[in-house]
Amino acid sequence: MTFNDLVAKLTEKFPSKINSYEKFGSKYIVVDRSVAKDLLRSMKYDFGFTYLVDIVAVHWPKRKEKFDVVYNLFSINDKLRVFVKCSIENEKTFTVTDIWKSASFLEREQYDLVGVVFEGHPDLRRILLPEFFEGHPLRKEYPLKGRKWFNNADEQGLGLKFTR
Amino acid sequence: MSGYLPIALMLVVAALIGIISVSVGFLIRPRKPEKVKLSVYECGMPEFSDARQRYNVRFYVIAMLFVIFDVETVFLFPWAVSFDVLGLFGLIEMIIFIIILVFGYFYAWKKGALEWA
Amino acid sequence: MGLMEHKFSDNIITTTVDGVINWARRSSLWPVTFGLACCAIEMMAVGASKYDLDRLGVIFRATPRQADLMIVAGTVTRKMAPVVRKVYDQMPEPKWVIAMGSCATSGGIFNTYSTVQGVDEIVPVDFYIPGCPPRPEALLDAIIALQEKIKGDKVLRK
Repeated sequence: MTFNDLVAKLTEKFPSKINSYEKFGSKYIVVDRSVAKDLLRSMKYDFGFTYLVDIVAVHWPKRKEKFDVVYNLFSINDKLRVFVKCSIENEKTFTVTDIWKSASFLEREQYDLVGVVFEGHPDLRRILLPEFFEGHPLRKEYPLKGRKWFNNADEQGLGLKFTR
Repeated sequence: MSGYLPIALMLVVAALIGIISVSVGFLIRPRKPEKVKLSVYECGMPEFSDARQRYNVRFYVIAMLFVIFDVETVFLFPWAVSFDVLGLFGLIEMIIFIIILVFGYFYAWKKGALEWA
Repeated sequence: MGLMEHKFSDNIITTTVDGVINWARRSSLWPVTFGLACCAIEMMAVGASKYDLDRLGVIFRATPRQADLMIVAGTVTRKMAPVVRKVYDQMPEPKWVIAMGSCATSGGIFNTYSTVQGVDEIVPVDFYIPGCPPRPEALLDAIIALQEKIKGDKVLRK
């Protein structure tokens, strides 16, 4: 199955809610939020995209839809990689852990770094940063060198003091 | 008696080596005990459970069996050394001793003490 | 302090005994494996057959209790910092630290929100090795320089 076949079949199933393009050597499908979860479910069960490689959330501060969630899907049988993009208005969106189990950690990472809340996630908490960290560093307004939080907590009581 | 002199010398030398190396270390090594230095090592993270947990009783059973049969082996060694002096009477005596212990071994086997599963 | 440490003035006996003690300490530096990132690969390369570390007496120990050297090889993040400090604290005296690579020395190219800018914010460092990653010869150079430093240590002498 090639990408064009896939897009044709998807536009049959979800008319007027899909856009697709190829750029930078990658294939994108932009989908409307209302049918996004059904589309992803059908991608896995009907089209064989059983491997969810990554979930990336992008912050667009000046746009009406503040975040873009991009699902990197791969079909092992067809060797086809597709990026499914869906824009969301505020930071709450649906979870895909009931479709792909690997989404559990991937969504926790995006919650930790960008602050997108996935409703229905079984265990949504920070995965990379320490628990006492406040804020979401990969948002555009977070300072790159913001290290003032280093001295906010002394987890093991060892008397560490950071000056740089 | 003079045959034992090398053994005595070896014991003295061995004891001296041990005592000197430990006491030289004791005199020279730095001693700075601190609370964190003496804390439990769990790859740098704080420990989350006690190290004294429950474990299967089969380890204790195997250790007990080892002790018993080790003592039996210790009794077999002097008989092996003076085998020719003790003659047939000694052989029959030792066979009876071993048979008694074989009964014990058979009992442990049938009771499942040797199952490692 | 040990019972006889730093108590004697310089004479032929104490300098000879110090020489023997320092020879023993520098010829058997046992590092605790603290490879965090890419510099750990270079450290493994130094420990492998081409740039052998075993000929210098260096044996990597997995536990800080039996180690006297800590080679911090890699980027230290704020989440890992208390772990580094605790492992350092659990090493017995005498102990030394080598900061290997740019990230351990000064945070490297990662002047960001989560990277500790140099492991000397956490532990006292004896030698810094620049490089990203440093050549294996550079790590060997640092260990040999540390051996030279230990050669001049005063153990019995004041």
